[in-house]
Amino acid sequence: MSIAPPSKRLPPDSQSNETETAPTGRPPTSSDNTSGDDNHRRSFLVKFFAVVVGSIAGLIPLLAGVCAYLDPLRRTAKQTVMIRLGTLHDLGLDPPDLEAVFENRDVLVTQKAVVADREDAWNVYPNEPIGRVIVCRRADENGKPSITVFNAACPHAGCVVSYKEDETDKSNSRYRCPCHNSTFATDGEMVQPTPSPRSLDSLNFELRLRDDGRSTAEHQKKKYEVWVQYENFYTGKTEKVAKA
Amino acid sequence: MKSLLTWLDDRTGVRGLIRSALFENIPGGSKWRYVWGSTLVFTFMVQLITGLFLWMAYGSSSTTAWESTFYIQNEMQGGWLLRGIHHYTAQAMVVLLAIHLIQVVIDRAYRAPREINFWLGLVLMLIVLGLSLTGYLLPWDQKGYWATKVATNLMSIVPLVGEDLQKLVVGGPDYGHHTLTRFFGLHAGILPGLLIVFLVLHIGIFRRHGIKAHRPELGQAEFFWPKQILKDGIASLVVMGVVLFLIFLPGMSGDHTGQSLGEYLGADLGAPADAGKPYDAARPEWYFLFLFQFLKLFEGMGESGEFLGAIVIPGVVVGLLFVMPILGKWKLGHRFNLGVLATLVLGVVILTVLAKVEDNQNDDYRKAVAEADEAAKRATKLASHSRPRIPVEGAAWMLRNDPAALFRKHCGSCHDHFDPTDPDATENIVAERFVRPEIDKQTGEIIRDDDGKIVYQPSGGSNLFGFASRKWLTGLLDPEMVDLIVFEVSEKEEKEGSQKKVLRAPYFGNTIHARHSDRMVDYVKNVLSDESAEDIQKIILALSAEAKLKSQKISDEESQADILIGRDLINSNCIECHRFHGDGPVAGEEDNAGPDLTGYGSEKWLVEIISDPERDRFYAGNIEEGSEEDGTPAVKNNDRMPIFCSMPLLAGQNTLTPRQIRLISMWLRSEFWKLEDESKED
Repeated sequence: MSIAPPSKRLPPDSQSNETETAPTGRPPTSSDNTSGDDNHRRSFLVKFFAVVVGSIAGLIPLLAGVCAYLDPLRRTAKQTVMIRLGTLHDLGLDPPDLEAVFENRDVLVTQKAVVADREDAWNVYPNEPIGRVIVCRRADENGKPSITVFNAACPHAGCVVSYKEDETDKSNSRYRCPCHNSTFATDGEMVQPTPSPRSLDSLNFELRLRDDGRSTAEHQKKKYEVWVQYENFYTGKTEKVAKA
Repeated sequence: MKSLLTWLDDRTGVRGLIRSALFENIPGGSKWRYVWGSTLVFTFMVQLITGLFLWMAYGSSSTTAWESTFYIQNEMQGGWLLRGIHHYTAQAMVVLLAIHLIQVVIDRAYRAPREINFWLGLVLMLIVLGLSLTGYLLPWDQKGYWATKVATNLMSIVPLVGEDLQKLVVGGPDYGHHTLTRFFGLHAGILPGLLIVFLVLHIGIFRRHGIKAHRPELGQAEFFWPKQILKDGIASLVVMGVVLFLIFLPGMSGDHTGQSLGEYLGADLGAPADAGKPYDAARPEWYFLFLFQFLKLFEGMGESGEFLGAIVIPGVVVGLLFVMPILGKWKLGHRFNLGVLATLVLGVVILTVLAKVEDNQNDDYRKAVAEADEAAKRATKLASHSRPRIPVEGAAWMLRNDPAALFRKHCGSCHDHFDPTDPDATENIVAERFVRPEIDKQTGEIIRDDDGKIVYQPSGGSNLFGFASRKWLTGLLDPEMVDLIVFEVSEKEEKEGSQKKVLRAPYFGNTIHARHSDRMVDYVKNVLSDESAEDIQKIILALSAEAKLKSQKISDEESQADILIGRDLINSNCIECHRFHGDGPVAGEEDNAGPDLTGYGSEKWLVEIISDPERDRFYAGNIEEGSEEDGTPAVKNNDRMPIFCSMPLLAGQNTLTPRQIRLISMWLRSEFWKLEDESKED
């Protein structure tokens, strides 16, 4: 024998011991004799407003909440400015002379945190790491030394890639992502098989000549500074799209 | 008593409620296979209770999340137990969800009229998984941060709304305060609220239809109370037992002397999240590892591969689950459902095992995990046992400005910090240094000194462990030690001009100062040694007292008499080259002068010399002037030490900030860490 939970349908009937009288009568049915269209219209209006008024009252706090909830949609990523990474020497990418002979298959790679002021809601954190970049110096097809700066985040799901050097043939070295094994060559191109949808994201950068008038050997070493326009890109897409 | 109950019952109907709750009919009798739903209700209650109490201690901003979690885990009474229960019960819930689903499908309890209830159950499952995902981020440690970052990055590939969806979930274009507030709002507000609503519906409708009994003809019908409730209770107790076992498991092995309970028991806490520090050990929690492994299969398929693996296929799987009640109308359909379930379970188990095996064989991963553990321990140690503890900038800042790390990065290329009495000390910093022979630039020949010995290029500074302590100064003023440099004997025959690895050079040995006469090295070897040992000892006491080291406070007080004599000795012996309390030259004014000995090794002295060693007070000017004619460069008094903070008021222009230099100075003076008895006071 199963016992059904108490039903909660109609107001209690007159069998209970209450001192107050429950509303008499029963809810109207369609076969009731309504006295004309006026009554019908009036009761329709009452019902209509009952619904509308209650909804408006309830919607107001909800809409206020949703409005505030959608705030991030109007926040855009900070305007990209050039950020100083360091001198070629500090980055371990000597020789400092850009035109110096660079052995054909030699590759120099360094990974560095990008430091800038970071704004986070109500705080500004001065000089904080906001991401990581890879600076790669290698010889291009014509043997001329070329420098590329990549965002170190893997375009697959955003983990930071590591550099795996091939000691016998440096130009065969790879960037490898520890999360899902995405693989890239030293020029950033995808190496199949890889789950990544595109190659490493290259960043705009400038080499600024720092001339403070000193000519000692120490200062010659620190001639060229690498400045990068740091940006983040959406993962999982075939095209490189900057985060807005 | 009975009349009181009647009075209550007349006004609330409570008797009927209790009766209907307890006397649910179970055809065929109570069974163990029915306990799983109740264990889920139990674990949810556990999470609610522990969650509420955790809520009273947790702060959801990017500078308070890790910090408050650290505090709960390590410093609050029973905090580790509370957090441990919350953490492991969450994991138990995932397992119980699976078991409950499997039992329901096997017993065909999704058939009419129970289809809607089955769907409600699936919705509950998704809510619980959502709770797990949102909860994992809340400690804001490296593990949770990077794992969730991957998950939210995947969101942007949802067509049309993906990018906006990501922004709403993350709270902006980047991770930060609002990511935490939103995730916490979901985790502590919206999702539990939804769960309660759906749970009420789920249980309500379940009671409406009654239990789908398993072979009811085999036993006699029983009521829920007391036998099924007892079984449910035992199962819940077992679940709690498993949770407690997992909490106390780390304590059953390994040496935990000196550690507080929270440091090794209960849930672990990684290093504070840092966007600038890659985390190669990033992995989702174990119950999502199969998804992680699954994504690896979509290599070479690009963007569509990721879309397929992360959104389409999981979507199809959930769809198949939802469709089960409809398919299950037919016997074949039921078999198909069982097949789908078995495949799923098998697939999940295999993928999880594969993920674990691959990780175990991956050396890079294991190295990353070991490094992550080190960083976590270091962060906890800094937060608990350092004097400054966690600054208002947060724990990530604290870890980035760990004075030992700052020293290693900025000073370690020249200076060691090595305790010879404790070679395994964790804060020993020793760099590999090599010396090369000096080559004459014009002739290309190796330069030798008057005795024919090869002159090597200096490549380092002094060992700064215990700087300005009595022991350190004793070595400095020891003629054997002052210019000591020990090379490693090479395995091959010692060739002329080969590079030699430096093993020890505790004072001037690896600097240019060892090679110039009429300076400190000369003085210690040839002049000071004429003084009596007692006098030298008093000089050491007096000089060391200038530093006002906390560790020497008592011994300095006790040696006051000797210190006074020592000061007089300094005045008579050292004033020719060193300023000392107002008397004597400074290097900026007079050639050949040494550094100011006033307040030698004190915090102020250290901060000033690190900020700018070329100040007049310290190592200003040249030891030897250069020559224009033969192009020999001048030899600076400051042998290669950089100027770390020349413009303290201009932020961003200096290598180290004044605050960082202060931290390094505190650390060098052994005042960065709290002493044992100070820690006990907390």
